[in-house]
Amino acid sequence: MVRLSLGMLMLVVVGLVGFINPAFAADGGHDAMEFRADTALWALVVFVGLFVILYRKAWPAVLDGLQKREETIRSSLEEAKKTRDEMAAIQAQFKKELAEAHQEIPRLMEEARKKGDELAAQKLAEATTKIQAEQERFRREMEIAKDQAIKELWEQSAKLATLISMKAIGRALTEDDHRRLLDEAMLEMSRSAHN
Amino acid sequence: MLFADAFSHVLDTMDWHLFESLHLHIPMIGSHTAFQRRGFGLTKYSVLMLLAAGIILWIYLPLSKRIQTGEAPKGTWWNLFESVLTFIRDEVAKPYIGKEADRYVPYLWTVFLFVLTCNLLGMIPFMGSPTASFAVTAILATGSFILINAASIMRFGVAAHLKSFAPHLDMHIGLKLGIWLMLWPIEVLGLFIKCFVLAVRLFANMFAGHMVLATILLFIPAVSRHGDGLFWGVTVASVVGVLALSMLELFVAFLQAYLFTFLTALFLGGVLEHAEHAAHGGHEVGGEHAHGTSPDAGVEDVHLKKQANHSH
Repeated sequence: MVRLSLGMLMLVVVGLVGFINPAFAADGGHDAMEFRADTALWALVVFVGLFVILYRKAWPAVLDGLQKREETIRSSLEEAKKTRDEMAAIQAQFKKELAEAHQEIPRLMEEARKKGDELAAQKLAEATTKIQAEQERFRREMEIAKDQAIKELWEQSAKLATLISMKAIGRALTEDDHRRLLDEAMLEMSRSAHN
Repeated sequence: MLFADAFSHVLDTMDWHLFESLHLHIPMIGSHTAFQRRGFGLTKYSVLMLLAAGIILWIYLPLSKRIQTGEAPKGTWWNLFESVLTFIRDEVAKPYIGKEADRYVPYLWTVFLFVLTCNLLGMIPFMGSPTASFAVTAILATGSFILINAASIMRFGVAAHLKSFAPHLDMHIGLKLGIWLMLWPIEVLGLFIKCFVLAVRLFANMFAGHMVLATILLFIPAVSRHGDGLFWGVTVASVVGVLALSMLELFVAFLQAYLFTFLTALFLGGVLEHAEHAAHGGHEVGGEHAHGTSPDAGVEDVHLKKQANHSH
């Protein structure tokens, strides 16, 4: 099409030059609308030459470059849009999870509080039981120690009473006397201890 | 006399005026031969057009290698030069031609850069704008005219292309044929006129701008023999005026290059759309173009479609 256009342009100009030139070639006077055939011919040659050179050497490369750039920009825009959509989806998911977490917090707090209370109660019960057991053990040991001390005291008292009585009555007591006196003393001491 | 001098500075000449007292004479091909007498000499604008083409090649051949890989070019200037191409492709070609824009964007790039560079050369002292010559703009507009028609013919065939100029009419066949016979030549002529106006608009804007600048500057030599006071007063006023108007001219240089390219894309898009409808059996495809009855209407449709796309 370009060749056809250029050919037609050539034909038109050559025709115009041939037709108009004799009337306008004269160099005398000044006519603003003067159609100088030589200028027209030069314009044709220069413009067509310029167009042909650019059409072959420059414009295909320029068009190719611009189309490549358009394609790059288009794909970049699509990529950016896709990434933006993905980010929006991730953000929405994050917000949803965050909202769920916010809703979960009171329940978790209540659960933790309950567990804490239960644990505290359990520990308290355990400690109380342990303390009671210890107290019981101490009480038993004290009872035993007290009985032991009383028994030893009774034995010492019996011996002392025997000794005193021997010196008081001036005679030796028999075994039966000793036992009878001891039992009476112990009974008396036991009464006084319980009182 | 003054305006004649201004003309001699703005129009294409065989002499390259640097100063009033110094003329650089461009050597002509086949000087004083029948070839030259028929007007085929090397002119000032010819040299400037070669310079413009050289500048474009000097910039855009290396740039094409830099952006071929798809990477953005590095450096302020390279980005600036590339932004021109992306602007034409994205803001002019694609909205008004459609999905086939990349097929035609090389022409739009070339014509925009060529017109812009030619326009800007006129802003440099001692240079000139080749686009201030009707011969140059006529060639460029002819190129656009041929592209518009060739693109339609190559894609949809001659029949569909010719049929696209016939408006859609819901009426009796006899009446319809009669109206077609009247409107079809007008529509065809309309495309010629639109491309002709394309050339005249660019030429007139550039020519008029440079004429104004040259005329204001030529006030200075015109009063040079009328006393120092007047001379310096006019000189200061002329230089300040030319400076201010040059700012406007700089804007016009870009604007006209854009307009030429934009209108070429607009006409091309309109003709292609109508040819496509004609090739597919009528203008009322999808019911969208019940009112679209001519390439002009097509242009409006494309414009409205673009606005609708932007609003969405």
